Amino acid sequence: MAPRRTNPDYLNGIPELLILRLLSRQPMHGYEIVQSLAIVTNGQLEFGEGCIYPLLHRLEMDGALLSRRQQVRGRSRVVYRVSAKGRRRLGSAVQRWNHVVEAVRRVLEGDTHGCTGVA
Amino acid sequence: MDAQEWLDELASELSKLRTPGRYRARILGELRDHLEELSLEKGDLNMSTEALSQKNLECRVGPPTEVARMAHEQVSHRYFAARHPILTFLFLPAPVLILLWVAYAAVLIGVLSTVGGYPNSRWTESIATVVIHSLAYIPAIVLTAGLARLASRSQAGLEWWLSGSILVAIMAGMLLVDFRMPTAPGNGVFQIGFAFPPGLSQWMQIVVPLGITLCCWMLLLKKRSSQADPAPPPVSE
Repeated sequence: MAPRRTNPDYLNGIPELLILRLLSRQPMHGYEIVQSLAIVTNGQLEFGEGCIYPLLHRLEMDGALLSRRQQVRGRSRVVYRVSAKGRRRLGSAVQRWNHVVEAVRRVLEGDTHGCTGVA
Repeated sequence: MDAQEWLDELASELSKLRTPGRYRARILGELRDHLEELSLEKGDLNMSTEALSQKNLECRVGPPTEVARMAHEQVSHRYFAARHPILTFLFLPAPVLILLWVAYAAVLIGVLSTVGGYPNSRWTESIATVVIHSLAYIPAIVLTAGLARLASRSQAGLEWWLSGSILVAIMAGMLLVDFRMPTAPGNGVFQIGFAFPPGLSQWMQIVVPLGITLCCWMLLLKKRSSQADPAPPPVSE
């Protein structure tokens, strides 16, 4: 049996970042978001698909997303899009993420520039 | 586990966590849409929910307990009262009640100063006495109702709300208001203070907020049990 998919702790904040990025390109419903995540990440980041909805709802409560039920290919779906506040939040989240990536990269590549030696 | 069982289990978990009914309906609706999309995946429009179970639904969508826990966290994250029940229901009511008393007394004093003069009938004197003595009841009633509303909206634990309401009732019972309309210049009385243990008239000030708390408690229990609804509609095949 395949392992259950949930959101591991180390993914804190990443699903929100990815959702905001995907939705900033075009409005999507939950299933499309999950599919897009799988395609864009080439299946490297796996989420329990059901866990995406609580995240979408929280982002909406925070004012970062707007939702509307509408017809998609003949079926009624809740479609999400990024609000102006969400775009600002995405901007700062991307910036923060880039800083983290840069910091981790430096550590992994052994960049000790500016560090004092430890005896 | 097929799609319907998965949704049923999620609904049951959300009920156990006392997730608000409106939010529960929403997430179940969207997940039902999601499961429908899953069943339509790969273009097999005739794939049934049983076929979906063969694809190991739980592995793909996630365990219902985990999804319910996340959903509940997202909702409770929204309310300060749910995140900080001790601060909201145990520490804040006392200063808030004092502020309400002060504000209400200031309004009453302002009104009395504006009206001024001596009562020209027993009727006006009775009204003035009732209005002044409402100081011992109205702020406590407003705060008790406010706490009940907060507990209902935030889904905070009933034990915190009950403790806060009892605290408000005890504080309300300690307030002593003495008022007599002036019959001649300088002989009117308007005193506010605290007295413990409460006298006979003060017991009423405890009983009224407690009665309101009891009514709200019954309404809340009724609301929460009616929210423990059941099964979502079946997934379309």
